[in-house]
Amino acid sequence: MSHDYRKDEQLAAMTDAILANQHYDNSTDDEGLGEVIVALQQLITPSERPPVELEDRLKLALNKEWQLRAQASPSHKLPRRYLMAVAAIAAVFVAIIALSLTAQVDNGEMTGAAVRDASDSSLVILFATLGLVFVGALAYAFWRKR
Amino acid sequence: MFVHASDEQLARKAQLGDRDAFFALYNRYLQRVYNRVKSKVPPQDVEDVTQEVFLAVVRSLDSFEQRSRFNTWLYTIVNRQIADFYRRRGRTERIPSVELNDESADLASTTEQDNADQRLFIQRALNNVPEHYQEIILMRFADGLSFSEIAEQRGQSLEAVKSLYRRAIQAVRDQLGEG
Repeated sequence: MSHDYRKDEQLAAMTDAILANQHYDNSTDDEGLGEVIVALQQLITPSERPPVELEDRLKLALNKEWQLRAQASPSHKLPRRYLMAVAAIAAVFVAIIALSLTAQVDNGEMTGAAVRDASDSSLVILFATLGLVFVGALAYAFWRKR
Repeated sequence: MFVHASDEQLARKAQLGDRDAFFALYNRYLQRVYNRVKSKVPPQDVEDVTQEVFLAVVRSLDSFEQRSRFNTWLYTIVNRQIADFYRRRGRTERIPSVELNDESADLASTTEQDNADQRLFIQRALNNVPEHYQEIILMRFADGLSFSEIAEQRGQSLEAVKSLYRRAIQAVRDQLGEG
């Protein structure tokens, strides 16, 4: 199906002229689109400023809302994704502490020569988890950079 | 002060609590938001809906993730607030129906009532065309962007934009014809 690019150009030029309140040539407008543009211009006038009363009312309302936002929580200082990242890292640290404590308690209760030294095993868990956190942080930083 | 800052830079500063950056964005977009709202809701509700849009922007500022353009995010809020407005009013009242005969469809009508009716008639036609058609018309009329600027914003060729625009205007004309 062929497309009439000339008509696209003519309509765009006609729109520019109508919106600039200039004379436009409608002799080529055999589809009645000029009338639609005039009607749309009456509905939406790009250069029309909102009433001054609205601007005053809006500024008051926005100042009030901004104050509320500022007072509500310091969390607004950081975008949500940063908060999520911090929360995730905090959760991982809690898990590390819980794991190492559990390992210490378990090993402490065990008896017999087959059990490895308690401090060795908790150190392994601690370093393994720290390693995971480090890799995760690197991956996150890399993803952010991209 | 913020003349050369991009929208996204201002949004980032506003997210970090910079009030002036937020108001710079507000000043940049007030007219466009107002025009967009005006094209979709009855005149008596335009101011309230415009206010709701900006309040929603303050409340959800942290959810802007800088992955999209700021204005894309902002216009999503505009559309959501307009949808909420109509939801509150009830779908049946979406655009009051206007009975138009051939004579009243004459766009050169001059009486006040005719102008109001005509306005609703056109608004209904615009609301009934597909979203991407509405968007390109709003970019040209409400945002006041030139076709070249629209092409740049949408990442399309100028020819493609003009072609889409003509199809959008044809769609509005068809809706007006169905009215």
